[in-house]
Amino acid sequence: MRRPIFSHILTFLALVTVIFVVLKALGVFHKPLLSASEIADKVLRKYAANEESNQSIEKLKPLFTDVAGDMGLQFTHDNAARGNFYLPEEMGPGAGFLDYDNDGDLDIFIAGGGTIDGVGPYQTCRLFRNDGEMFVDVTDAANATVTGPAYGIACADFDNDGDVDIFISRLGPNAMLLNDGNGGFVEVAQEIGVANTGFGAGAAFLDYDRDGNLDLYVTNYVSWTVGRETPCYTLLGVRDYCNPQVYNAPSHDNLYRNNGDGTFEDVSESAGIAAELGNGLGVLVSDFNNDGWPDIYVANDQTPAFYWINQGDGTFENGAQFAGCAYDAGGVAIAGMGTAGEDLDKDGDIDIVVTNIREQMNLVLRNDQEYFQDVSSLMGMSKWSVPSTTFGLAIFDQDNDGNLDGYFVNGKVNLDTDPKPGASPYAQPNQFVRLVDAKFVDATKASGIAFNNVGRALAKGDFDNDGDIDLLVTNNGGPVRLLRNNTSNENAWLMIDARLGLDRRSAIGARVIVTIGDKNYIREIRPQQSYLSSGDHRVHFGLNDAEIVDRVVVHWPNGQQTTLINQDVNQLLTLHQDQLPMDEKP
Amino acid sequence: MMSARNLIAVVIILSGWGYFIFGSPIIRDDEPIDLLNELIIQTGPNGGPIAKLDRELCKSAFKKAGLPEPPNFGGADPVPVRKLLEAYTSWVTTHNPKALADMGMIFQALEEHEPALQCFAALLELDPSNTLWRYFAGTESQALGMEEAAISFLEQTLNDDKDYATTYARLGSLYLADNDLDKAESNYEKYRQMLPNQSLSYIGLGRVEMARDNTVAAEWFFRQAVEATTNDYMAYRMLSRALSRNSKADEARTISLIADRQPQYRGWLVFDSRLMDSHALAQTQRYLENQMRLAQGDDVKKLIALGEQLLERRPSDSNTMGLVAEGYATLNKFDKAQKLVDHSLELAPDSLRILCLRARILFFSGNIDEAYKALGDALALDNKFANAYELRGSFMYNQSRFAEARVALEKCVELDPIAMDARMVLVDILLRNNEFAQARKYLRQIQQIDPNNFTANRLLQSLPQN
Repeated sequence: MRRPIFSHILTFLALVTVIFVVLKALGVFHKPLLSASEIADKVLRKYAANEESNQSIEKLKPLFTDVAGDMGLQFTHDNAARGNFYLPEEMGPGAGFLDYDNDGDLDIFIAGGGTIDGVGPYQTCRLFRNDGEMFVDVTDAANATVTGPAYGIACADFDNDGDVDIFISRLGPNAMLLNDGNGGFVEVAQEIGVANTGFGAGAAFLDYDRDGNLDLYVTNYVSWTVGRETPCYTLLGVRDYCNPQVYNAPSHDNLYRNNGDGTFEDVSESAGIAAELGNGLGVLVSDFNNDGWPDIYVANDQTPAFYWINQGDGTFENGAQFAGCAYDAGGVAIAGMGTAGEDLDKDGDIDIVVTNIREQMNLVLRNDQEYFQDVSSLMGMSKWSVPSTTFGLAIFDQDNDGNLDGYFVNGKVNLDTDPKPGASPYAQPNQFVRLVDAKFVDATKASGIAFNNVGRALAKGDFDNDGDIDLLVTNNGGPVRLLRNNTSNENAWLMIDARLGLDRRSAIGARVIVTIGDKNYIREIRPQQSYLSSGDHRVHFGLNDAEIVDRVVVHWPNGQQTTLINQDVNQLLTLHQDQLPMDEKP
Repeated sequence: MMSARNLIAVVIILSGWGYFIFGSPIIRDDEPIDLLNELIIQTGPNGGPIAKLDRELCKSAFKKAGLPEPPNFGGADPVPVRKLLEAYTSWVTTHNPKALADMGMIFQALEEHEPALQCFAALLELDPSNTLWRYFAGTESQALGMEEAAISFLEQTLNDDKDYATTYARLGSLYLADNDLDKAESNYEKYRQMLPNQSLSYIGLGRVEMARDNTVAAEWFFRQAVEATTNDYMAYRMLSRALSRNSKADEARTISLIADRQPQYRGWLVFDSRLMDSHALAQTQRYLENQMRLAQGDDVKKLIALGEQLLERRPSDSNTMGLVAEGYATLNKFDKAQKLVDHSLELAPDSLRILCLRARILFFSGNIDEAYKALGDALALDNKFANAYELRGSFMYNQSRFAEARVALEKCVELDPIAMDARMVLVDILLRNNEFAQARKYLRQIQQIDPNNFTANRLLQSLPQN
């Protein structure tokens, strides 16, 4: 006989009740009478309601994919952290994009690490050739075997022989790999006069005297030796790294003038550079004051920044104090790490972004020509950069929509007491931002980026030649990442490869202005910026829905100017100065 | 009619849900875990005591007690850990807001801003009469970069707590960052009215004027700031900045050098006694270090006592050992000083600072040859260490070996552009030789480093011109 449905329901309810009673008896549903966290959440929600949403951008598929492993770019940095807490352990490594074999695509060079005090192995820097599909480690074959601990990378054809050479700053003598044009290198730093024995950090090639030869600026960090180490502790009393101020040993940077015969002369004293001491890291070369001569901004770590104004006579004056860029608006000598320059406010000059330690926001200096204004808060830096210790950065147009975006790699210098499982206690997530209504707005979550490492260098470049900017990221004591830009929209773009003279070396220092309608986009050929990094020698423009470029103006480093009209979009435009008509001077 | 089976089901349902709603669990898993009892003190790799506490147990204990997630205490200094666990125990047994407040303040001292903020936010409901929690919720929001929340908390603090000047300074800085210059100005002005002898408000008011591009007014405020607090590096730095904007380059340069010579502070600690209270409560090592710094040059015995306390907690800290050794040397207790330095050198045999300190102690205890040898050891490790040359010069000067002293001191000043004492001794040696031009060169350098140096200024006025 079938029982009525009512009986089934009662039986079911009784069973459910028994289950709940058992769970209740076991205390599963028991909550503390008073949960401070819940109360706090309630209170904080009320107060946080006014905080701007940091994820106002619609969710997309990941903007970048790490293809390092898939493409054979295997490198894990050895920071030699063996419990000594030596300052140099936490600073590297640097990295660079370069086309060393002149085959039209970007290869990669990564600085090595290894022992700081001579106890234990050194790690060799690595050179990877881009063969289109894969990156092949050609370090040994190319004789590019420089050992670490190495820091800054700067790639350029300093001897004007048509191929790119590699400068590597180190703790101890720097190295210069001279490209022999046949796929091989020779280390020549000592012979050509750029070895120096300080704690070399950022490096940048520039033609400061406009003689057609690339000179070299190298920042030096702290005058560090093992003997100057001292123990430092966290607030919980745990041994940790010291901040650079503890050593009280700032050093002067070096400027090397290219003699034009393959050698350099250290002109730090005569050019005025040696007059100032600082804990130098990032270096940015640009004609900030638009006088036609390249100037130099140096991000110093907790000592005042340098702003070397080129006097046009072979000397520089540090105008940082007077131009308002030595400190932030509050007078704090920030922990300047990396630095990048772009025309953020589209007023025709180069503004500066400097990365900074956690609890201080990244610095944005708006170039008002006579003076730099700290506009960090106004540009939204306080909203997302305060919790991060940032080193490398890239300001670029990620999606070719004509607006600049930013990528920031973070990694602490002081111990995190509670790292994520499996992560280094110094790891911090990368961040991605978009420049929206003159503010940098955090778009990390929406970008799908979830890299949590001890980030250091960040170089930008289009390694797959598909018209968007990819990123090369190094991590201290961790793997290198090659972030392929996944942009697949219809936005137009333009890449320009500007070259000088018969030797065809990249026109470092040239300024390129692209005009579409009433919009001007400015870029400078300046591969070295960010932190210990060397990027693409070509400049990239995102052009949104443009169908044609009305005008391209190139201001060459020697003061000449070329104007081209009606150029196609979606192309790599290679310009040789010696084959182009120069504009008449007004 | 209802069957027996259905009747039993109804009884189970009714009584079961009755128990579910009104009854207590029989097996209760929420008995507070006695974390203090779980805390194990071990000897760490550096010889000092370290805390060991099961990470997951600690996290779940805090979670069950409805508390924010604590940092990882593994390997940490047991003193603040014990303080925090005491507060935890007090909270789970009494739910007294005081316990939560202690916890928040300890988190705050440890710069664990997120859990600190959670504690203070909860206290806003649990202990609403105490405005301190609203203030701290503001300070922690500020530390986390949550500017709107920080402003909100701090503005509300002022409803019942109008007399704590730092609130106005914090609000001033927040409004300034937000470019709300009028509000920034009014808050700094209130701070100025309450503490007219402090540089902080003048710096803030000057910055407001700088933001308005009124650099002349800014310069005036910054001048007030350096007058109010003569050793505030920030005041000098901002004055230098305003001077440079006002085309007073030479004075700007001079003031900038003075700024570089002042002790540098970081964050709000020096302006916010409430924050210092948190450090005192947590008894952090940084608190002891700060107290040592305050005692330095003022109360050597206190410095030694604090240093020894610190060394108990980190016995391999060669730096603190050096400070304590210097203290003993000042009291002419050379044996004790020497013992500490020797121990320190066992730990860090290449430490240039300690090698130099050893040389000093040896010299002043009469072991001259050994003192020079210690300096030689330091210079063999790093021949650019200015302090070693300075010491060598001063030893030789004390032995009246002036020519040799001069060589060493010249090397020192070449390496260290702001070594003032070395320059002063050099001047003395030069004056003994009637080398006035050279002496003037170094005196001018001293004047650049410290324009208020009485001796240098006076000597420059009185020295013969050739």
